[in-house]
Amino acid sequence: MTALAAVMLVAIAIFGAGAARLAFQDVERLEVEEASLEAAGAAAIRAGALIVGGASDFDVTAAMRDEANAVSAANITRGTWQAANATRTSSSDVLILVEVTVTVHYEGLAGPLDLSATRRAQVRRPPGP
Amino acid sequence: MCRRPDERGQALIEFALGLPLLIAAALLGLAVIDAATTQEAVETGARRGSLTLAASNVDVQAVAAANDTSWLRGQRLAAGFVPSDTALRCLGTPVTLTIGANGHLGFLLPFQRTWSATVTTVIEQEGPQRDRCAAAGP
Repeated sequence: MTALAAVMLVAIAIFGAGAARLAFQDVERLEVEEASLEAAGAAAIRAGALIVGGASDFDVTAAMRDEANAVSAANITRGTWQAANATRTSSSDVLILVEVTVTVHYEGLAGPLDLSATRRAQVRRPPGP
Repeated sequence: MCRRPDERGQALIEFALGLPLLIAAALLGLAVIDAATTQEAVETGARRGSLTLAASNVDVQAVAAANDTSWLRGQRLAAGFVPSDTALRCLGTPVTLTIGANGHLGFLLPFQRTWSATVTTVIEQEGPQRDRCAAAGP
């Protein structure tokens, strides 16, 4: 009976640890998705403002990357952020479309886990006269 | 060491009475873990669904995004949207999304319970309703 009780306790513990691991992984995946969305939005707004202000192409790209790095790192659990890659395009009706890919590495109960998420944000061109 | 026959009988009765209790306690333990994980999962799912809803303005896509949460896969989700996408939802319209699930092992609990989470978001992309919103005006 004691052995049976011990086996059941171990089974419950394994199930509990597995469930907690999955839950942590989901939360962390969501965290990366939200951070990349926040970073894309912030980078698009910053770059859009610079473009409207007449900044050079080089300055716009540098500011966009800085913003994407800073915002994504600020929205990710400390110590897990690896990189943020931001690229931009534009079209006839979109002033700037920013695509940000955030890469993170988690350790702990959920890890080791490498995650990345890509999100886009855009600023439309103001309506013409 | 040899036991007397009446001691062996006592042990057998203890085992026969104890085993169902032990199994019931183990199943209850698993169900409680499942319930806690399901509650965590519906909260994650609701947040993920709200992100998708804000960017798509389509209820089905939001439910699919919520269902992408690991622990919710294979579970029947109850999803509610106020207002739903049959109503006019334009840029800035607040939408309340509720996701509910019973858990994989909900049937083991002595009571029926739906674990749910509610998130309010704002439509950021009008999606398929863009023309209707343009026609409705500001």
